[in-house]
Order: sequence, then C-alpha cells, then structure tokens
Amino acid sequence: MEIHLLKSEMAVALLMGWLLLVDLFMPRIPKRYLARTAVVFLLGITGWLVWTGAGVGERWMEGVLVGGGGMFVLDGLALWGKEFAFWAALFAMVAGMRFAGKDDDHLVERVFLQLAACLGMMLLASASHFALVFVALELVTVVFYVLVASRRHDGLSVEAGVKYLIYGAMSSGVMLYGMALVYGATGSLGFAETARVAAQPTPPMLLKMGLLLMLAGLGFKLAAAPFHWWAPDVYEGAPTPVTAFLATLSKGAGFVLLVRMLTVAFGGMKEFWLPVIGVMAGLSLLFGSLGGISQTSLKRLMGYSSVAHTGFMLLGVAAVSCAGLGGVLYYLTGYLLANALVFGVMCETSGENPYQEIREYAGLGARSRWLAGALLIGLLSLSGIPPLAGFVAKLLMFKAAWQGGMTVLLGIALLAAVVSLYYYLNVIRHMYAGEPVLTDGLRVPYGVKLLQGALAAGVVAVGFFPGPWWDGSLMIVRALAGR
Amino acid sequence: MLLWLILLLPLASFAVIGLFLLNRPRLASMVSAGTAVTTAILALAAIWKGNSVEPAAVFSWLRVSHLRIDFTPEWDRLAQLMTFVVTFVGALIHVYSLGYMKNDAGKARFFAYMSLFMFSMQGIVLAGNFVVMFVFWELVGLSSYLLIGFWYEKPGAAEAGKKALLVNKLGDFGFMVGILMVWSIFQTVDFQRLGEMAWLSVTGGNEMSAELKSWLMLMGLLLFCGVAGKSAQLPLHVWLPDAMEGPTPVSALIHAATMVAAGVYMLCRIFFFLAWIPDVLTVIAWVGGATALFAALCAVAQDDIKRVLAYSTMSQLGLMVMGVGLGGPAPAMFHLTTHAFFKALLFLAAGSVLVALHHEQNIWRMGGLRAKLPVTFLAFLAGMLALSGVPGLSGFFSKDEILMVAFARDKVLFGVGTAVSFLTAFYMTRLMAAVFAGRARSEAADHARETPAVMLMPLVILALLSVAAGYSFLGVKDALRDFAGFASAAQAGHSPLAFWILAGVPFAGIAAGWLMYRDVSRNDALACRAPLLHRLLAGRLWFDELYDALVRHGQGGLTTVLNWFDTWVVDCCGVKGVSLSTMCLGNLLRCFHSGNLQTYLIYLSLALVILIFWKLALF
Amino acid sequence: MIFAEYLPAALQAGIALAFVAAMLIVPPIVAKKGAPNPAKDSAYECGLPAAQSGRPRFSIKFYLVAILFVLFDIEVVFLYPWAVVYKEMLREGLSILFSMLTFLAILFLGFLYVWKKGALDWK
Repeated sequence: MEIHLLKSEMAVALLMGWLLLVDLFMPRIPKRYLARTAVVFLLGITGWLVWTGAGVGERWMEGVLVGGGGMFVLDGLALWGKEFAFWAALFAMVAGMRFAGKDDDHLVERVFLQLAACLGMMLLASASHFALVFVALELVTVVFYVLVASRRHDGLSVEAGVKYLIYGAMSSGVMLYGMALVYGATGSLGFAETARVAAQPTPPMLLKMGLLLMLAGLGFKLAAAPFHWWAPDVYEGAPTPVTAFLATLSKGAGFVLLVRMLTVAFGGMKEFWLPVIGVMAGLSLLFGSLGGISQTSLKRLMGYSSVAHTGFMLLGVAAVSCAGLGGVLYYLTGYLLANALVFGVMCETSGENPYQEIREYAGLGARSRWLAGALLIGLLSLSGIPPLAGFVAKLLMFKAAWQGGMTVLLGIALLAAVVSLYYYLNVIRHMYAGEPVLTDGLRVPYGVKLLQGALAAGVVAVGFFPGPWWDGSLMIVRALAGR
Repeated sequence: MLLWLILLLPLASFAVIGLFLLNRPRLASMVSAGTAVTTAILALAAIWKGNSVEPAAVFSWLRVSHLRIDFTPEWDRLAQLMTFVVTFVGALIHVYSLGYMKNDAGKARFFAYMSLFMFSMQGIVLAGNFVVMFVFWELVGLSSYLLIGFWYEKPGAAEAGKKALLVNKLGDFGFMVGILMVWSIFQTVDFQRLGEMAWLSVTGGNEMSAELKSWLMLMGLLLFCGVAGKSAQLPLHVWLPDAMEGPTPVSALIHAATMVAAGVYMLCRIFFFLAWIPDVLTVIAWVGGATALFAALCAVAQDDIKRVLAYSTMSQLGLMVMGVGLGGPAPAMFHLTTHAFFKALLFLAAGSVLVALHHEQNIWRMGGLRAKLPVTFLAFLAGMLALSGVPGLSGFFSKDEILMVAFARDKVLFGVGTAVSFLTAFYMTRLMAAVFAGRARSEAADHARETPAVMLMPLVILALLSVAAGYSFLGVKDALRDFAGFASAAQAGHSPLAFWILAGVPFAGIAAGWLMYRDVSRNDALACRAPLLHRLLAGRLWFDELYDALVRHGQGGLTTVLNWFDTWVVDCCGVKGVSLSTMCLGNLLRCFHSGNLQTYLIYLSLALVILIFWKLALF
Repeated sequence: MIFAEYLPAALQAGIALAFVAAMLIVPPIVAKKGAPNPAKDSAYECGLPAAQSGRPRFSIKFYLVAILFVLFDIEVVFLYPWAVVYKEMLREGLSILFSMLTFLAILFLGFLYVWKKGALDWK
C-alpha cells in the first residue's frame, strides 16, 4: 500500500484522535479553545494541501497516482474534492462555534464529527472502488445522522434526525444493492473493471440495474428529485451549522463521486444514464424552484434552494462535455462560498430567530449593515445575479446544456432560475424594506466580519474573474476524461 | 505597477472610507486628500518616465470565444496629458475641499464619493478598449450622480442628480449601442487593434461599400451620443446647469475640469477612426459650434454665479468638440487642459466667494468684493482673463489653436467661434463687474471675509497655471504634437488676419461688457434695455420647458395607452396569470412534502420502480 | 442466460416469501374462530390481569449497551479472518500486523471514549 498517498487523510485522522484524547483527559481546557485549535490545525492542513498538492506536488498532472490496487487514486478531481471538503468543514466548524452557546458541552464532539465527515469526503474524492465508495459515503452519512439530531431537546431536530436516518438507511440499502448487482455483472468492484464491462456494445442488464440503483442512492445524497423528499424537512429541522454542512459538504461529496463514477466507471454507457440524469435534473429544477415559493422559513427555503441547485449542476453532468463537468466544479465553488455566507448570517441571528422565519429578517438592513450585506451578496449569488459567482456558474450550465442540445431542459432551467429569483429577492425585500420586528443593533465580532468580508470578496472574485477557477476546473475534468 | 497604483489608490481610499471611516470625518477627509495628492505625485513620476514606464501586466478580464476584454492601461501621450490634468487638478480640489466642506455633516461621505470619482475618471483615461471605458464611463456617471445629489435633503439637488443621471443614460445608451456596432463590424473593441485596422483599410485603398459606409456613420453618431451626454452638448445639455446644485468643489472637479471633458477625451481617443468617416466629423463640428454659441448666449443672462460658469463650461466644451470635429484633436486637448486649469480656478474662486457670502449665489446681491476678498479677486481675474482669451494668457493660445483650424477648414464655424469668443469676454466682464465692482448690495456682501489659506492655496497654484499653461516651455501645448494618432490631422496654416481678429475680439467683449455693466444696480442692465432678449436668454431658449412638455404631453398620451395595456393585458393575463399559476404549481408541489416519513419512502420507492421500468422494461 | 447463476438465490427468496405468505394466510383459514366475548378474552386461572401497557418504556441504557456490544463484537468478525491468514501474510512483511494494530488502536480510542464518558456505568 502506498501509504504516502494518504498523507492528508492521516493528518485529519490524527487531528481527530488528538482532539478526542485531549478532550477526554484534560477536561479543564475550555472546549472553545480546543475547537479553535482544531480550526487552526485544519487550516494548516488545508494550506499544506494547497501548497504541496497533498505532498505529491504537480505529479498528478502527469498521471494519476494509484494506490491500494486501484482503490485509491490521487488526481486533480481528488485534490479538488479534498480542498472542497476542507473548506466546507472549516466554514461549518466556524459556524458551529458561533452557533453553540457559551456552555456547550458537546462542542468538541461536534467538531470531531465534522472532521469525520470531512475525512469521509476526502476518501470519497479519491475512491475508485465501490467498496471504498460505500465506506466513505457512509462515513459522511452516519456523521450526519448524529449531527442532524444533535439538538436533542429540540423536537424538530430529533424529528429531522429520524427522518434522515431512515430515509438515508433505505437509500444506502438501495445503493449497496446496486453495488452488489454491479459486482454480479462484472465480478469486481473496481472502477476500471466496471469501465471495461460498461464499454461493451451491449452492457449486461445487471450492470444497468446496478447503475440505476446507485443513481437512486446518490440522488439521496445530492438531494436530487425524485429522491429529495427528505431535504426540506431535514434542512429545516437540523441545527443551522449542520444544515450549512449538509448543503455544502454532503452535496459536494455526492457530486465529486457522481462525476468520477459516471465518467470513469460508466463512461461507456452514456446513452443509458444520460436520460436518467436529465430527468433528475429537470425534476429537481421544478421541485426546487416551485416548491420554495411559498416558504416562510429561510432554512426550509434553503432546502428547496439546494434541490434547485442540484438540478442546475445535474444539467452540467447531463451535458456530458468537459465544459459541463468543469462547470459543475466551478458551480460548486461558487455555491460553497455563497452558502457559507448565507448560513453564516443565519447562525448569527439564530439566537433570536431559532426557526429562521423570513419575516423576522425584516429590518436586518438597518440593524447590521455587515450581516445584511453578507446575506445580500450570498443570496444574490445563489440567484445568479451578475457579476457574482452564481451568475457565471449558471451561465456555464446553460451554455453546456445548449451545446448539448438539451433545449427542453434548458427551458426548464431558465424558468427555474427566474422562479427561484423570486424567493431569494423576497428575503432581500424583507431584509431591507420590511417592517422590523426587532430594532436593536446586532453586534458582530471582528473575526466574523473578517470571514464574511473574505467570503463576499471570494464570491465577487470568482464571479468577476472567472478565468483561473474555470481554467482549473476544465483542466481537472479534461485530465479525468482523457484517461 | 505605477499605473495600477494611480488607478487603484483612490479605489482603496473609497473602500476604506466607505467601510470603516464613515463616522470619522476628519480622518476620512485626510485619507482621501492624501490619496489624491499621492496619486498626483505618482502620476507626475509616471509621466516623467513617459513611454518608458514598464508595461503594466495585462490582466485578462473576460474571454468569450474571440471576444477578449483586457485591463491593459493605455499609456500614450494622450493618456499622459489627461492623467496629468485629472490627478493634478483633482489633488488641488481635494485640498480645497478640506476647507470648503470643513463643517459639513456628510464630510466623510463626500470624500468617499470624491475618491470613487477619481478612480472612475482615471479608469476612463487609462482604458484600452471600449468595454472597459464604458464600465468606467458608467461609474463616473454614478459618482457624478451621487455628488450632484450630495445634499439630497435639498429637493433641487435630488432633482438635479436624477436629471443628470437620466440624461446621461440617454447618451450612454447610444454609446453602448455604438460599442456593440464597433464589435459587430470590426470584431474587436480594443483601441490599438482598431487603430491598426483603420490604418490598414485606409491605406489598403479598397473602397468602402455604401452600406458599410452608412453603418460606420451610424456607429460614429451613436458613439458621439455618449460624448453629447457626458460633455453636455446639444441637445443633451440640460443637466449641466442644474448640476450646479452640488457642492462647489464638485462643480469644479467634475462639471468643469474633468468629467465633462471625458467626452472630448474619448473623441480624441477614437479620432483615428472617426477620421475616415468625414460626415460624422462634420456633424460633430456643427453640434459643437451650436452648443458653444447657444451656451455663450445663455450665460449672458444668468443671475446665479455658478450657472454663468456652467454655461461657460458648456460653451468651451462646445469649442473643443468643434475643434475635434474640424480635424484638430490636438488643439482640442490643448484647450481641454488650459480650460481645466482656469475653469477649476473660476469655480474654486466662486466657491470662495460663496463661502464668504454664506452661500448667496445671486450675483446681483454681491458687489464690492474686490477690496474684501483680494486674493480671490485676483485669482478670479486671472481666470476670467484666461477664459476670455486675452492675449498672453493660456486661454488665448489654446482657443487660438482651435479657431485657426476652424479658419482653415470652415469659415462659418470660424465666425461662430469668434462670436463665442466675444460673448465669453462679455459675460465674464459682466460677472466680474457684478461680483467685485461697485458697492456691496446685500448684508452678506458687506460683511464678507477672506477665506482660509487651505482654500486659497489651490487658487493661487491654479491662477499661476492659468496664466502660464499656454507658453510652450511648460510643454502642454506640444504634448501631443508628435502623437502618432494625430499625425493625420494637418496643422492648419497660421493666418495673420485670423490672429489679429482673435487677439482683438476679447478686448471688444470686455469693453462692451464694461460699458454696459459699469454702474451695477440691483437689476440686470440687459433686462432693462432689451427685456425680450433677456427673457429669451434667461429662459435658456426654453429647452427645459420644451423637454418637459415633450415628456409630459407626448409621453403622457403614450403612457395612458401603455398603462391600459399594462394593467389589462400584461398584468392581468401575463404577470398575474403567470405568477398565479406558478404559485398554484408551487403549492401543488408543496403538497408532496407532507412531512410524513412513510409517505416519503413510498414516493422514493415509486420513483425507483418507475425509473427501473422506464429504463429496463420498456426497452 | 446470466440469471441462471442466481437461481439458488432466487429459489431461496421465493421459498422465504412463500413461507411468510403462508404463515400470514394459512392460520386464519385453518384456525377455528368463534365469536369473541369478554369472558373468553379474560385471564382465567392461567395468568394475571395486565398491570400496564404491553409496550413499556425501558431505559435507553439497554440500547447503549446493545450498540456497544455490536461494535466490539464486529471487531471479532474482523479479527477472525485476519488471524487465519496472519501467518501466511507475515512472510510478505509486517504490514499485516500494523494494519490490524491501527484498527485496534482506533477501536481502543473509541473504547476509552466510551469508558471515560461513563457509558459503561449502569447508574
């Protein structure tokens, strides 16, 4: 086993172990300090990964580094996925620390679990073997079962936890069944062998069935219609930082896996899965945009919004072009930043507005210019207003769909973009023009201001100067498709 | 690097003030003024290095198929000259504002806007292609709007800001369509690439088809729309006099020295390709001439000190545009530069008067200020003489250049120019007589005191420049002589006849003015002697009323029809119908989300079964 | 036909289904039913009247212990095949040892956590 390929994963695992031990045996250390230390360490690992490319430098550009007999690959997509996991975890950890009360006994456990989910996505990004895929995916999912229900005294949270657990267990079962069928058809769980069988002129029936079941299981992770039913309930019920984590990391993990699985393992069966993805995209767009119209809770709204965004990204996957898939990665980047902004603000206001009623956002513009500005930029980016990241991302998706000749889907996507614009702007309207419920000023610490400023700058930068991000995404996808 | 600094420092200042210093006005004003002065120094350094400034890194902003928009700072002689004007005058006016805005409640906001303006203006100057220029063009419009309406609690100021924005938008729309046409005809919006292309197609000798010619003409006229809006040319001039509602430093910087000159600058920038559409140039020249004459006439009958200067600005801009239209961008830029100095000077001096008189703007309520405000008086005198074109001062040299070109190309426009020149001297004398001569005609004028040094210092510097900028040792005059783009514009021959006419006319104007307004009473002498003419001119030929009526009645009828259409067809069938059906659909879809887990699982299984049947059983 | 290989599995599934169906369908048909009456339903000589609901709430600790049992039980499931191939794999290097040690270390960490948190105390 080429253990050096796992450096970044091991670093995170060691961090987790250290965190747990220190928390156990040195209860005197305040939890907040420990959590902050974990953030700093994770930031360090992130920096190291950016700096050195997981210790393999530029070598992944020349060829893929494979370990564990083809189980584990380290290529552009894998590194990208790991980066995504890091940032999503970092934002969620900071949001969680802001969200937690001063005397929260389980802060460190929560951070530990978030790190575990991050580790899961890191493994998933590199997985090219269905067994590893399943383990990594379950690592992410199981963590979320716990996190979603972590406000044990809040009925909504527990309800969401149970729903997520049962729904997730069923989806995992379906997915596992699909994997078993793939094994039955190919005699192997590796992506490479699967690709060989899938490239046959008429792939076996079992393989098709397996792929369908796996797509259904993945549809759960991505919150893609018609497998998205859990999303609004769970988004609403889960504690806000967990919802943020769910919206970013869980979705990112699903898409990284989807991109790798469909291009590497099932690249030969495009004609088969393309309509399925197309239907999923169309339904997600419709459910996500139309369902959100009459919502009154921002958190539930974000659930629908997440379904709609899945639809947009699936559009890029359905385009089966490098432009489409690269667009998905670009989209995820902008989506991560914008979501971090929106949920960051939600965590700040969660004390006075636990259920995130949109009505109670009235007057935020006057109460805190910072928070209102951050929320404004985040929502505008999500709705796709130029020159923010969300606009370019949507544009790329539309372009890919157009070039892929999917006019009907494109029409649905345009419709969805317009409809979702309505509900995002509705929040903004409340924020600036609504009759305020509360009028006292909101104090925001400088660290949060700094973070939100950086995120907003990021959203603007990614949208205004799409060049580097777009080139990077395209390079990753080209390398993936070229193999 | 230097160029980026010049461009981005004001932006940084704007951001810092806007984000952090809104409650610290003193610090904010210091930051802004400091930035402006630093920028001016950096600009001087960059100009001194001239073309040898290391090329700033090309920064590619947008690439869509073969449309490529780069941020490449343009740094030729033209840009250098304009940078000098913008940063230098800007710095002086920032310093002046420290005094002028000292006790204003919105001081921090004012300086934030000023920094934003400096950034946008510098962006126009350095823009290397149409799109970038347009972006900054709009930014300049925005900052102008913000600054005109700076005292937004005054209804007049808010209205004026709105008016400026709307009129400018009208011009900008034409400009934008023009840019799109440039793109569609030439497949590039880059000035340098366009320059190469224009050169090719002129010397290549292939005749243009009539169709292409008419397209090019339309394109040229549309681009000129932008100029007409920004530089207040007929018929889009109505906003400029009203813009005087803004603080006086704003009038000096934006509505006299720099922003309104941006149109002229842009004309010079694209002159190379206007040059091969002669018909457009003719139109431009006549529009410029008409504006110059019209504005000069209006200026004769205004009672507000700033409005007189505003019309004078318009008139001078008309002269510059006329100069470009006649094929003389170099004289136009020369005049732009000297005009920036003496018009900024005049406005600042007027501001000084206003401060001394507690914002009394009516010139008939001033008088006798020569003794009370000696420095201001001298500065104003220098500016007035320069503006009138008295031989030996900068205004004479630059105006002379333009009118020489006119003399060589078009005798009628030369006549117009001469008339403008006479009128300029006339109304400036009137202004001087009313403000500084005679006795004080109001309480405020009686108790006027000289303004603080921080305001006088810029006045003195600008006065010196106004006097001297015309002489060739300062280099302004010859800054563009060897500029490649203007080589085609033949230097007009120097005619002694024209020279003597031009040298004499200012004196005639001053003499006429002095005769008429020597003994100032409370009323305008012109109003007594020729009431009809006075009413006509004071009413500015009723342009505003005409537009107003046009908007009110012409638009009124149209709006009634449209309103009906909107209410019944669009709203009822369209918007309401669409929104209602969307709502219904949304609520229908929402019904699926019952919150019941068992139901969800049934949906899930159903979806799975349908999926499998669809994909596997139906094939 | 590739499905041929799945015949045993299908057979077993079929038998299981049939068995369940039979258990559900057959007894009501076969069993003799008279009209129910309270005297018949009451406990008589062979029992006591129900003191409380048939579904009492019992302590979460049972679940906790059960879960922990499953966790550490699974460990053995991994250990057993490992032990079988251990000697053979040892010839190729120590990685067989270290991988299991890592596994056990992680498990031990979990055990420490459980212990320290008091999940093993019944009180």
